[in-house]
Formats: sequence, structure tokens, C-alpha cells
Amino acid sequence: MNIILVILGYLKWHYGKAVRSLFSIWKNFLYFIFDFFSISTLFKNFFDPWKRMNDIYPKPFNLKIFFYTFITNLITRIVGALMRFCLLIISLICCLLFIAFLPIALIVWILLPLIVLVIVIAGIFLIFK
Amino acid sequence: MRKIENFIKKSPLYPALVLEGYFSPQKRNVVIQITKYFLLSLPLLIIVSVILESYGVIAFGLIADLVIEKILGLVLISAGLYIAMHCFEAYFASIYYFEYVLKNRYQTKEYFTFSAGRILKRATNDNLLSAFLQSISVGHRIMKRLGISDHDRDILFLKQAEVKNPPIIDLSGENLIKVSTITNFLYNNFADFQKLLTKNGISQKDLTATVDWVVYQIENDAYDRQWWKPEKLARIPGVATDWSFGRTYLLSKYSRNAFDDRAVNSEASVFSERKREVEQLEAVLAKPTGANAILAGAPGQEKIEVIWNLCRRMKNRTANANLIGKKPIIFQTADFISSVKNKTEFEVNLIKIFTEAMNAGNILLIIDNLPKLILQAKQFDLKLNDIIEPFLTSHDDKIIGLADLEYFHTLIENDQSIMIHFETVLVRPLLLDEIIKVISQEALIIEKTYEITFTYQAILEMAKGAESYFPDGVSTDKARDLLSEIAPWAIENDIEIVRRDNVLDYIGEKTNIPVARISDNEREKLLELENILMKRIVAQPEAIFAIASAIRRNRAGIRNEKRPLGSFLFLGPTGVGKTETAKALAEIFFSQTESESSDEEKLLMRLDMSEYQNAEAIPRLIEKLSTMLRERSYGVLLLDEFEKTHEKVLNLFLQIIDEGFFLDTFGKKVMARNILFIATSNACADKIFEIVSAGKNLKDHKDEIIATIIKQGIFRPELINRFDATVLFHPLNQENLTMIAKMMIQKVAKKIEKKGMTLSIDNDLINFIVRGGYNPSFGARPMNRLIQDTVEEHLADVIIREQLTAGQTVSFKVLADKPEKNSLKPIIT
Repeated sequence: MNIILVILGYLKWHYGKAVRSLFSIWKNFLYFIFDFFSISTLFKNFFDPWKRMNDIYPKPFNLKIFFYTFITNLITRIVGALMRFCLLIISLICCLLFIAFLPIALIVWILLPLIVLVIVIAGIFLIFK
Repeated sequence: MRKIENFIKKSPLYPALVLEGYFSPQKRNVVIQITKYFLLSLPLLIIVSVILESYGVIAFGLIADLVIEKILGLVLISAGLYIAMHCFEAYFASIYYFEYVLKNRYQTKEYFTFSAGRILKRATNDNLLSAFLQSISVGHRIMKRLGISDHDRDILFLKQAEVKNPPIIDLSGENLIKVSTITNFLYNNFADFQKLLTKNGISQKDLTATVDWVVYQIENDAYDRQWWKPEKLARIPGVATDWSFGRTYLLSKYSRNAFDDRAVNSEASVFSERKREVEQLEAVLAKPTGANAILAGAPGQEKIEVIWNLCRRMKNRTANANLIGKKPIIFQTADFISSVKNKTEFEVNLIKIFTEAMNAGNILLIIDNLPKLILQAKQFDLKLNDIIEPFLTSHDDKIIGLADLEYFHTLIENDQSIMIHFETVLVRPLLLDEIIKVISQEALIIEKTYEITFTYQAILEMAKGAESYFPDGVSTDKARDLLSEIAPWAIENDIEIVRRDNVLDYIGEKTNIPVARISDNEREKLLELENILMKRIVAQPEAIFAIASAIRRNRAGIRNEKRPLGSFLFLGPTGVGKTETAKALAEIFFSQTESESSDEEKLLMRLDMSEYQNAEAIPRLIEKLSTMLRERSYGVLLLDEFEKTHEKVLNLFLQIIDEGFFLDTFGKKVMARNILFIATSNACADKIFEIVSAGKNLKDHKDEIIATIIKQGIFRPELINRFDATVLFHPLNQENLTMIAKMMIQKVAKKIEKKGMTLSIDNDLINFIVRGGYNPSFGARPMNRLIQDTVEEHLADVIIREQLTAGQTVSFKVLADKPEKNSLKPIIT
């Protein structure tokens, strides 16, 4: 009697709370990936100079120095944008992979009791064949 | 019968409890380990067999297929079991998690917490105590933490078999049953249980605290395993967080990122949450402008703990939104100061550092030891405020300055130019309960390293002992130090379970204060204290009894621990034994080594209160007193001529005697709880004389004398009441003086005995001293002077002239009654 209760209790958890937990863990990881690659910051500061390496424009105005500064600042912005672009691509691939992982994980989890049962029976069958 | 069993079946937690009955965590772990081993080794075996066969090393033929099939079968079964066990683990972890994180949100529909369920599950005969004592994962742990031996626990368990109708806990389901609900029920309803705990010195409060500690440990272990929690994932640093922020070349040289501090990242670092201070700090930093804070607290780890907590919140993303994404950089003032050589370098580099911090755009600058920086600037004739003001007023930049309380008060608080930019957050010292919590959590980590167990009472004693026996510093730090020192000490002494007595032994060893169990030698001294004192103090039984009983009370542990060891006001004329009593006490009771006992002055701390007759002398007194008590936190402090000091000084002592501590000139606490205060005074000596001369009993007139003292405004009634006892010393009569004279001369005899010479004492000599030295107003003191001027002078002469050498005896012939040297003649034989 107890064993049935246990199995029922477990299955209730497996298909109820555990599935919900799976979703929330998946959500945690997705959020983590966003966070780990600082995706929102990358978008927000896409054209910012690389590590704030920008020069200050001359005062009073001096065309030559202004031009040099402009070019330097442009380069640091381009470098920054390039680096961010590369990282964004990598992070988006990671995100997509992880999003695709959810249905697989969900299917495996739903079938898990069955899988366990099948492989244990198969094992017993192989031994005592 | 079976009321409890039927009750627990109603809970949704019941299946998990039953499952645990079949597969305990230990069993699950064994299965996981075995199946893991199979899973790793069996496929390897198959691969090796196939390779060997293909090379023709072994020819299995048909058998090979058969063997491989069987092995594959084993692999599949192992894999199935392995997965199943992990599913069960997840099932349990999920329930534990439920208990831990949402523990205050347990709903009554669960009826009980999981840990409580583990106990209830065993109560098949409705005897909850029996179930509790049987429960290994909860009951055994709690009993061990309470320091109760397995033997005592088992005896109590066996006794339960005789209990016919055990009391039943409230099973109405209206209130959630927690472990503490069960233990409180047991304490209040099972007399044997209560008796066993009381016998071991455990109160109900201790029991509840221990239960909380054990449940915390069980739940925390489960929580630790949940690495996928968002707050734990958030701690992993991102890859591009500082791409848009500037670099800080010079600042990096003198600073560290607080996020890298072990305490911020490791679950193993335990410190109090300090929620109030962290929230205050966050509120200050959240302000759009002038978001700078000074964190002022006692010297030690407390201030940085607030920072660590703030950093944890920032990392977990639970901090205030405008702090998230910031980099907490701790500017190490000491490193910076030691590297600068001159004023210009100091100024230029400091500006550079602050500019870097400001330009970086994401830095939360934490200045460690702000007062040191201010002082250094002062030394270079600079004002720190002038250098850093532009940064303090900036919109985006936030600065936190850490300051020790003493410097905060003396250096910062009154400086408006600084205070205008900063808001103060005071770090309050932890209360005893909070210290216990921190120490008990930290003990769990230390236990793992050293493989020892602390009982709750040991933890309690460490927290209390840190406060009582170590005069200086912050209690939490001291308790933490004690904890980390006791662990290796316990290993050295083969102690597996650290109990209260072990902690006391350790404190005793470290401080030389006899806090541990009373030794035989000490017991004898304690019980015989009156007799021992009477041998030295003549005719003052009242004083002796008062002191002896105070000391015994203290050693028996029934004194008020928040006050000094004892405090006495000795009243009486000069030279009747007040100082001598203090000296005797110091020598008999507070001597820590044999050699010390011969050196009275070293043992007795003494303050001549007539030196502090005006209010201006108070700082000098505080300085002297704090130095004295820091050097020696245990002993007798004699306050001579107490009536001659200023009223403000008296008020200071009123506080010390009442609270057992005072604050030094820097605002640091100086503990005086292991000090026996003896204040002596000649106040009302005339009245005492009068009463005794009239043949009245002094004891009967004590109230009258005290009333006169109050009336004359010498001491206030509050002060007199604060003393443990006001003791009246009698003037000495002829008979007493004869005894004292004898003792004084014997003292001289002892001195020359060490040189191998003998002083023969006869009644003539004693009578000469008494006659010549008797002065009713000065008591025995003139006799001492007379001995010095006559006996000692003669002895010095004959010793220097080598007329008296080792092995010889000297006696004195009294030639005249006049109290002078020539009245005595030394005779050497």
C-alpha cells in the first residue's frame, strides 16, 4: 500500500512541481546567458569607444588636432562595435541552442520514468536471457 | 494509538517520508556510488574485451558474446538505478528547498515541516520522545549538539518503553508542527527529558536555539547543492561587463575588487547579515547626488562585513538597481600611503586615482581607513577634502569611506567640510544572540575541516567568554578568533566533541583567569579563604567574610557577569588593615604563578585617588586605568583614599562598578568584569573611633555612619549602593596591635631567613614596637615605620659590617622605651 503511495507521490512531483522547476531552471539559465554575455549592455553601448579610450577635443579649436582626435575616437568606436558584434553573435547562438534544448529536456524528463523502467527491464532481460 | 501515524498520512509530505524510510540518504548515496562505478568500469571492460578478441589475443568465440551481453545487462541496470536515485535525490532536494527558502511560507496544509516529519514518522506508538530519540538525522544530532552522551540518551529511550499513555502533541492541524514545536512539547510534557537537560545545564531557550542550529545545518546543506539558483548563477562574472568602462591603471595598483574577496563569493564565509546597515548604506548610495557614505564602526571586521554583504547583494542582483553593474573597488589606503614619498606625489597621485575612478564610470570606490588618509594629508599640510571634493559632488560616482569609530568621532564628525558630502552609517556591535548565530554557523565550516563537533553550550560559552574575559576589541571578532583557535587546540588534546568545559579550559589557559572547573587546590583555598585571610588580617572578621563570600559566589558562577568580580568600600581609620586586606587577597587568590605571589606590588593594581582631585584629571585617570586593565584584566584594583577624588571621578566609578566597563579616551570599551574593586576611605574615621571608644558595637552603628557620610556629601547614596558591600574596619586595640607587631617582625625575620640568618623574636621586642608605635589615629602604620627605623636599620648595619653572617642568630635587647634606634641593641650569637 505504502509503495503505491510513494510511487504516486513521486509521480505527482515528477509531472507537477518538477516540470515547473525545470521551466524555472531553464529560465534561470537563459537569464544567466543574457547576463553572462551582458547582452543588454552590448546593445545599449554598441557604438561606445572601446574601454572609454577616447581623446578629448582640443580647446581652443585646432583643426589638425581635432582631425586626429576624431580619427582616434572613430577607431576606438569601430573597435568597440566590432568586438560587441562578435560577442553578440556568439551569445545569440548560445541562446538559440539553449532555447532548443528545452523541448528536448522536457521530452526526456517526461519519458524518464519510462526510460528507467525500460532500460532496467532490458538489462534484466539481457542477463537472464 | 497510532494517532500520530494517521495524522502524518494527511500531509502531502507523507510519500517523501515513506520513500525516505525505504531509501535513506545514506542508502541512496551507496547505490549512486556503486552504480557509478559499474557505469564507468563495465563499458571499459567490454571495449577491452572486443579489442583483445579482434587482435586474437583472446578467443572468446560464442562465450564472448554471452559475457558481453551480461555485462551490457549490468550496465543498463546500473544506468537505470543511477538515474532513479538521482531522481529521488532531486525529489528530496526539492522538498528541502521548499523547507529552506520558503520556510516561513510553509502552509498549514503540509501540517509539519519535513524535519519534523522525520521524527513524527517514527512515533508509531505515539510516544514522541521515543521517536525523537530514535531519529538519527534529527534527534541524535540535536542531542549531540546539546552535549548529551549517547549513553544518557539511550537510557532515556529505554525508559520510554514503560510509558503507557504518552502525552500527545496538538494534532488539530491548525498550527504547523516544526522541530522546535516538538522539542518544546517534549520539554514541557516529558519530565525525564526536562530533567536530563536540566542536569546538563540546558534551558528551554538553549534547546530551541540548538534545534534552530541543527535545522539550519540540515537545510543549508540541501540549499548548498542547488547551484542552479539564479542568485548563485549571477555570481559568475560576465565577459563584457567592463567593455564600455574606462581602465584604472593607478587605482588598480593600490586597490582590489571586493567582488574577488573570498567572503563575497564563498558560501563558506559566514558573517552576520547586518541587514539594517546594508539597507541604510544602499539608501544613501541610491541618492542622485552626494551619494557618499561613511561607514563608522569599531575597529575590526565589522565594517568590511557590511561591504561584503552589499557586494553579495550586488552580485546576486538583489541590491538597489543603481548599484547593479557597479564595480566595488576597495582603495587600500595603507598601500597607497606607504608608497608616496612627498607632498606632491601624494596630491598628484591621489587626484589621478580619483580621476581614473570617475572616468571609468562604473566604480563604487570604497576607501579603507579614511581617517588614515585624512591624517596623512594633514601631515603634508593638505586638506583631503580640497583634493577630493570635485569627486564627492559628482552625480554618478559613489564613495564609501570606512572609519574606526574613535577616529570618526575625533577627526571626521566635527569637520563640516567633510561631513557635508557624506552621510554616516553606524555599524552597531552585534548583540549576544547575533554573535551566537554567526559563531554557530561558522562552527559548521570549522567542524568539516577539523572533524570535530561543537556543542551548543561550547558556542554559547565562546560568545560569552569573548565578551567577559578579553578586555579589548570587538566581541564578534574575539569570539570568531576563539572558535578558530579552539579547533586546532581540541585536535591537539584529542577532543572530538568540544564542550563548554573545554572552552573554559582553553580560555583559562589563554588568559590565566581561572574560569574552568575549580581545581582541588583552588577549592581548598576557596573554602578556607576566611581562615587564610585571618592569618594576615587582624581583628576584621566582617570584612573578611564579606570578601570571601563574594569571591566564592563568583567562582561558583552565580554572580552577575555584567558587573565586576566584586566591589567593596572599606571604611575605617588609617592603619587598621584596609590596604593589607587588598594585598593579602591579591596574593592569596589572584597570584598566577609561584614567583608572583612573593611580589605583592605586581599583583595589586593601585590607584592613589588623591591624585585625581579635579575634573581635569579624568582623562589622565582613564588613560592610566585603561592601560592597567589592558595589561592585567584579572585581579584586585585598590582605590586608595577614595573620598579625596573629584565627584566626576566618583561618577565614572559608579558606572564601572555598575556595568563592568568604561570607554577609554578613544571611545573603545575597556572591560573590568574580572576585577575586584576595593575602595578605601578614612571618611568618618572619627565617628568610628567615637563609637568604638564608647564601647559600642560598630556593626550596630553601620547605618548611622553611612548616613553621616551621605549627609556630609562625601559619597552619594547611589554610589554606596552600587558597592557589593560597605565594610567597616575597627580601630585596633592594644591586643590587636601586639599581634600585628608580631606579624610585622616575623615578616622581617622571613626576609633575613632567606640569607641564612635567624632573627629571634621575644616579647620585649614586640612590646617595644607596640609601645613606641601605638597611635590611635594611625593604627598599625607607625609600628611599621618604627620597625624600619629600629630593627631593620640595626640589621642593615650588622649585615653590611659582616658582623651578622649566614648561620648566625640575631636578637634584640631593649635598652629604653624611647621609640628610636638606640633603644635597641642587636646581640649576635
